[in-house]
Amino acid sequence: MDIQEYRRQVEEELEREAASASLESVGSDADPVSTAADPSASGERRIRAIRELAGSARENRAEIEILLRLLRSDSEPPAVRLAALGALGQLQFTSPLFNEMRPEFIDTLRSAVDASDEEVRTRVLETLAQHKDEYAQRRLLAGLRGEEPPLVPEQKAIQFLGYDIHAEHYPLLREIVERSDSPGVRREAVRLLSSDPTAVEILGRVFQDRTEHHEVRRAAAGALATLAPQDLEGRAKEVALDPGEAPALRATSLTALEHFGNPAALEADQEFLERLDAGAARTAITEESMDLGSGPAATELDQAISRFKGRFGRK
Amino acid sequence: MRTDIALNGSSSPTANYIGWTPRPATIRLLESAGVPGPVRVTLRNQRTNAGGQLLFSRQPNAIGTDTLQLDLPTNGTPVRFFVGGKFLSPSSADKDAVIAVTTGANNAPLGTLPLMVRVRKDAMKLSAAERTRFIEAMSILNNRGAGRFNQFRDMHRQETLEEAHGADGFLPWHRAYLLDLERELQNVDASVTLPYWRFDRPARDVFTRDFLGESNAAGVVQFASTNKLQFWRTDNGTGVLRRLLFSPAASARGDLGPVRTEASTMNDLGTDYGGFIRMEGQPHAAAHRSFAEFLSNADTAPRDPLFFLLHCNVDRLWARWQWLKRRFDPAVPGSFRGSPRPGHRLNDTMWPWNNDRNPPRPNTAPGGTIAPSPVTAAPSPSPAVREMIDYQGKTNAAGWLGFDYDDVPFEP
Repeated sequence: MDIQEYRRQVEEELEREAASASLESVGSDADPVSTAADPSASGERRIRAIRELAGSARENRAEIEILLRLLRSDSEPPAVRLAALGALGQLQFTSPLFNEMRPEFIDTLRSAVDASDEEVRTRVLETLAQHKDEYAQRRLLAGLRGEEPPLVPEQKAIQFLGYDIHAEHYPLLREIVERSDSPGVRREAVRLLSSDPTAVEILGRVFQDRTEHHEVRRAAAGALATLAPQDLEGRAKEVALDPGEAPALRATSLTALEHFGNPAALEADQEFLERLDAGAARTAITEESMDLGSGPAATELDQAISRFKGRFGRK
Repeated sequence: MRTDIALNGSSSPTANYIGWTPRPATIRLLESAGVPGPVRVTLRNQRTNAGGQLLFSRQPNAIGTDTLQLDLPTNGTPVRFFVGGKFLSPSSADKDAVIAVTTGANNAPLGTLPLMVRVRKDAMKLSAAERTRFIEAMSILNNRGAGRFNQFRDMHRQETLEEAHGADGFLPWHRAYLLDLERELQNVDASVTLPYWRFDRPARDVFTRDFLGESNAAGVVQFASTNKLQFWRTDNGTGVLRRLLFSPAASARGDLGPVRTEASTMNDLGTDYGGFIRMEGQPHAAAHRSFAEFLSNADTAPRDPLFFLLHCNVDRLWARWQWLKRRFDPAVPGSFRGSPRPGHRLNDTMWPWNNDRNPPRPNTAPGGTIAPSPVTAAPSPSPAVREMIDYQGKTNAAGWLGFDYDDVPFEP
């Protein structure tokens, strides 16, 4: 295409969009500071004003303080508090003042962890966790240990703990893997155990436990890939060849082997490749008759086998 | 008799990558003893219906033509020409663009040179093979949390944010950061470029299990069992947390409302860098804040591979604005402004590539100098802010950085 013609087309398109945007424009608030703080203004107007402050407060300490006040107040509507948190989140990227105001920001967040609204509470705890805040960690741990009512669901609490995982958390995580009846919770605990050198045994057990949810088992494969790659290699071969296994697990095992396995050893192991062929055929029958796994998972297994053989099969 | 072509100042196949900017090349005759000279040859695309397409010219800074005739001395003296990718006709596979050299009325073949018109593309428009190559290269770089990627993760932390954010060096710093990462990806697979995520448009195909993953209600990103990103690992934890505050079938919006559209980014932020840099808030920060978990926070954002696609779009917006407003020349004030903070002024070198660990810089400098490229000597190993501005080498051909965007042309 002629570049000048392309420029003309792009400029025309931008003009058209500018015209239509101006028709839809709602205009900016004449006094966003007052509107943001005005409880009698509609929620929509206040949120719009708060979003304007996200830009203008970049170099304005007083405006940042207004946003902190809005976030702190449990009497403010949740949508206003979340908008204030969003604006502060933007300022974290853009404001040259933010670093020096970080202690005030953290104090404000701490004061809001018991917010009555669940989404506010969750986003506040998430932000504190991202800042590796010790107070938030203490509260999360207390909830997980049953020492106080949990601030967020167990799965989220484990995720938030993961922003700054410490060795002293591992026993609790291992206990959660053993006791929780929620696959989502177990998966999050397994994910974080990937740095616990003493968790190899439990992770290996989870990976090969056919009664376990396959997403938890896949998480265990990911953890073992880091923690004990050689251990995973042996287990992954077993799972990959097992026609009774879920196709997603077999495909994950093959992907792990392809990605992290010892290439020379895999190329030399032609018996594994031959057995893999036979195993694939049996799975197709089992899956059809017993409704194991999903359609996409079966397709993924086909892809994984084909890719594996393409890479390691005899040329 | 045959011909030999050297591209980008090198006869190595590793240098045979171009974008839209016409790049210098030379062609010479070999095995031509006794042949009456000069020999007239024609350069053209070997295939015009598939693969990347090329344009040829005799002059630099010129949009070329589909064919070019050159007279080559029979003594082997090289003749200079320029070759660039034909805009909107990029490659989709390694070396799928081929220069065919012929002579005479019968178009007798004298030689070929396979190369790639390698540009950064909209993630929504990648082929399955392109997606897979990108994911594999990222996964290899990550290597279960033990790979080179760790250094990229460490470059963008809370403790280092003042190098990259909150001042005018925001865009140049991230351009260098992406370029460094992309070159490392290309060391794994030379055909890979960083894709970009257009956050102001629906991008359902980006948030799939086969590609960047699908988030469940708890914010856990789920990958296909064949997707190597399932083993992605950062900061002592496997996996990616990403909760979308918008539908993947719609454009991004979060706790800062909808992201500023591309049209508004081009139309409403002015014609000078001092106005345009406000894009660090909207759309950039708004795009980050359209997620909960990793991406929502400046410190944790690089833990999510999507971060690099988001920032690639931020960089593309800058490139597109530069093209529309003709803001490539660092010597022109509208192309850059500069903040007082070190690292954010035109001639400052940028951390960490400058290895400066003295205050006010951070006390670590992960990653070393910027990764070298076989296609260009630019930027310098410890690049200055100014080296990031004219990425196409329009005002200084030696400053070509070796990347382009699929929808931002080279315009002389």
